[in-house]
Amino acid sequence: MSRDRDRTFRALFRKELLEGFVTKRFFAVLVLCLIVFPVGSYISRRDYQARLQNYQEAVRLYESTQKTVSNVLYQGGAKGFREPSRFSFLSTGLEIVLPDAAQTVAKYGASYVDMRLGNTKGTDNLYEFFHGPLDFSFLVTVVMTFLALAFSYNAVSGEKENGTLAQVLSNSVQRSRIITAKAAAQFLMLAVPFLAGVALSLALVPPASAAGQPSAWPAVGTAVLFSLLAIGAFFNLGLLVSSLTKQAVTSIVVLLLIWTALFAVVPRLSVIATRFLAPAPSEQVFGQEKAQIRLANEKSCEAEVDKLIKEYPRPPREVLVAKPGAWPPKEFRDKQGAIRARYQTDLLTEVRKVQQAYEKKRDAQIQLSMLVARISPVSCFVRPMAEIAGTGWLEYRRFADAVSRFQRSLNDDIYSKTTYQRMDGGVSTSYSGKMDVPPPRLADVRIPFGDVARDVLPDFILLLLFNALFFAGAFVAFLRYDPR
Amino acid sequence: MKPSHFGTIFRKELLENVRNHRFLLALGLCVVLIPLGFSVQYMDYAAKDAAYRDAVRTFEDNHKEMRDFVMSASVFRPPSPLASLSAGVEALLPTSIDTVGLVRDTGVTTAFANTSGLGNPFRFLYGPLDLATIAAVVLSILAVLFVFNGVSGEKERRTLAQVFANAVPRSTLITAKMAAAFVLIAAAFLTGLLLGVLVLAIQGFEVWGRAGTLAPFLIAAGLSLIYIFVMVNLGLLVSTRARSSLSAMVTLVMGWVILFMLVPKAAVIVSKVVAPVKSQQVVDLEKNQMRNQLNKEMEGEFAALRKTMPGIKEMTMDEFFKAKRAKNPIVDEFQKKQDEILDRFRDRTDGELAKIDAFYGAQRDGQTRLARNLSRLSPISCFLHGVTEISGTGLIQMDRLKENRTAFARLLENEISKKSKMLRFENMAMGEDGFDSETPVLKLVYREGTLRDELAGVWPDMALLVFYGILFFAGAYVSFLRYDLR
Repeated sequence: MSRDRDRTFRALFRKELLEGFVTKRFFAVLVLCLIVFPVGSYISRRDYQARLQNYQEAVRLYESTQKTVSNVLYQGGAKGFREPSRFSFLSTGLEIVLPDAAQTVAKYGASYVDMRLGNTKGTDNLYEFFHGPLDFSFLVTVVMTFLALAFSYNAVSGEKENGTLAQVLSNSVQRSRIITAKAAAQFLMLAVPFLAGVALSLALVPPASAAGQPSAWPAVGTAVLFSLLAIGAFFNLGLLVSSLTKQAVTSIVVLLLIWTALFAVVPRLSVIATRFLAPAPSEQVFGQEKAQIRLANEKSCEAEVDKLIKEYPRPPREVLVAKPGAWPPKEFRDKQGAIRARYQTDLLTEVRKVQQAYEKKRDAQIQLSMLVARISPVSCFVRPMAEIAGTGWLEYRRFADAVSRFQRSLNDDIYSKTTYQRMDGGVSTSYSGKMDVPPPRLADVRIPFGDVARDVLPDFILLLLFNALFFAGAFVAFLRYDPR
Repeated sequence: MKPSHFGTIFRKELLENVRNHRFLLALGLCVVLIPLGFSVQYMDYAAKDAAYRDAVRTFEDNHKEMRDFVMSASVFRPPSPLASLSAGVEALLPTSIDTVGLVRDTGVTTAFANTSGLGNPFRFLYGPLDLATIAAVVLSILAVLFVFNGVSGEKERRTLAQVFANAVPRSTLITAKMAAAFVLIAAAFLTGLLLGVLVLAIQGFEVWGRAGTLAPFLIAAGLSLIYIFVMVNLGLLVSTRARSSLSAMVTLVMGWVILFMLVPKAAVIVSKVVAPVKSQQVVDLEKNQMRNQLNKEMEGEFAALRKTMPGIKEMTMDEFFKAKRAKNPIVDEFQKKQDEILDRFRDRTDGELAKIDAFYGAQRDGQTRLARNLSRLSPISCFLHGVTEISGTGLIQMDRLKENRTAFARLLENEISKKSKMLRFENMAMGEDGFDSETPVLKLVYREGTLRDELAGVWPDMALLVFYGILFFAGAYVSFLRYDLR
């Protein structure tokens, strides 16, 4: 009995495969994949190389000018650059809007420095941002999902229309075998060209490797797995709609509307919805808030220093000439140093408090956006691809953390050794450290792949669920189909 | 063309689309998405505008005297209030132009800064929900849905043969079909747009009451209508060529993917491969290196002057300051010679930096122009260019920013840099900044473009969009006239 079932399944499976070959659909998709994926990879590689070259040149130029602490203190401050991701061919993600450099923002003689994340890529090719990239993620999200729908939209409804389904059902063939064989054969015809296209692109344009950097294969393997799940989800969705409708045209119209909703509307609406559900101030507003705090702190500090200066007026010129170095007195300098240190501690505490409150709100909004967007399998694919490629939110946090550490070492090693004092009739600055030593550099640490995998696991499970749900829906709808 | 025939067919097509719920679907989508998009984009604008005003106020509070401008100066770009129409590239445009370091007698260095930050990154990952996106994606899909079986469906059902058996001119038939589909989508779109404008008014943004807003809104609405006309005609063209509704639909979907997704992206890639350009970061660093090198040369000339000028070379620092206090003419002569060196180097620095800017600027403009021209192969790109530039969030804004940066640097150069007089002796520099507390402070204003400027940049896109509409309709018309029933 079971052998009979297997034989039936194999016969149906072969029939579906042959149909794909006869209609040349398989070959059309194969040719398309063999062209599109290698071309996409080649273009992404060129793009990455250009960005890498720019990054290396920026680092070289910076290091050739900022050789010593003195250069950092008096000629343009310190900078750190973000290396472009090697895996950006998988997904350009947020690459174009992520900060590509961090620069010190310090007032003359400051004993504490802040760092500002900057992005100059915007002014490079605004047009690229305008239309978006042509990376692996895009090819799967648009081209492959469309092909998945093109393979499945008439898988059942087409046979209903032609009347061939009624003929098949009049034989003693289990319906479950028919739908499973259809799904398996047609998905195979879609997956094989996709995998062939990916294999060819990896053979022709292997991922860039770098000494001391982790292998590209775990990232590539995970991306391919995610892609197969995303293609599968849309394929099974097509099968479900095809099982529910009576005509192929109705199937494709419904699928086109669903695709538009899942691709263009749901992800965008998720971002909008979370703005209402979990409001957070914009980064600009937060920046202004920080600036106000800093300004108020500075004003109060300088007012207190003004009072102190009045207590220690400048002696006449003759006294200054007679006792060089006696003014301003040590007591004055110590008192001013204490005032400035107190205000700086207050400022840091207050800014940290505001920053933590802002980050808490922003992170809550991001988490909610991520959660709501997962209603669409497109979002379950696009975001993880950006994270796997090192062009997503994790990459931003990684760079921001690296910049924080860099800022700490700049403050500990350089700026904390600077003293700025105001006195009656002038200002003085001094530096107690060594000026001719190399300044600290930004230490960039990549995110371990295990952390990325943990982050994208919920999306992986959800994509699996979408596949199971859509296929189960198609299965049940097909079992319940009444040919009369 | 007989009006009675046209009217009858037009009415029949209208009724058919209303009956099969396509119109209701279009109306529902437009009525929900357009006001929602407007509302959210306006909230974005309001936050940006508040941050902009705050930045200007803080700057003005800290710059009450001319001397404050020596330490730092900024001019802020106001956000576009029309971002509801198209968010465009506004997120990447610099929010201010700042001075780098002190404004000294040696010159002014300026840089673009973008403080808008990343915020919620998903808005970049998934894109905005502005009018341009809604029209480019949703309206074009709706146009396809309205007409994909307009002719092919009638061929399949054989109803076209019955119609042709009557004395109905084919030209009337195809024109009425096109007109009906266009009117229905346009009605749904305009209803959504009106509701959107109403939502904006409730939120406090009056489209009709604010200067410079109504005309761009009307132009964007007009462009959207032309775009609907183009997509309806494209759908009709494919429908007249195809034998079945299914093949018409499949062809249109594939065509949409190519026009919307592949052509514009491929245009950018081709331009990057054909005309590669160095990044702005590298260009800025190169400029910085050039500036440092020239400064070094200038310092060298100052040192040489101090060591070789008779009357000065023999002086110690104390003697020099005594001579200065005594108003010794040799010090004035020394200052004059230093000013000559400074002027020469300032001109040289300006020239060298302008050369670097011009070289990379021309390369970058060439790359963008190539991408833009190639992407015009797609009517969707033409539409997006048009709406984005009209909204003041497009690529033309970068030209505007560069103009403002030049004007800003020139103003600081003339009002501060050239007025300050520094006298250098060995490693000491002393001088006057050339103004007192009575000197009126600078008014730094960002000059925005006019609608005429934006229109000058997008007229080719508008003309092409109209051309595509006529071309597709002519194709559909000819194809329909030549259709052989047998």
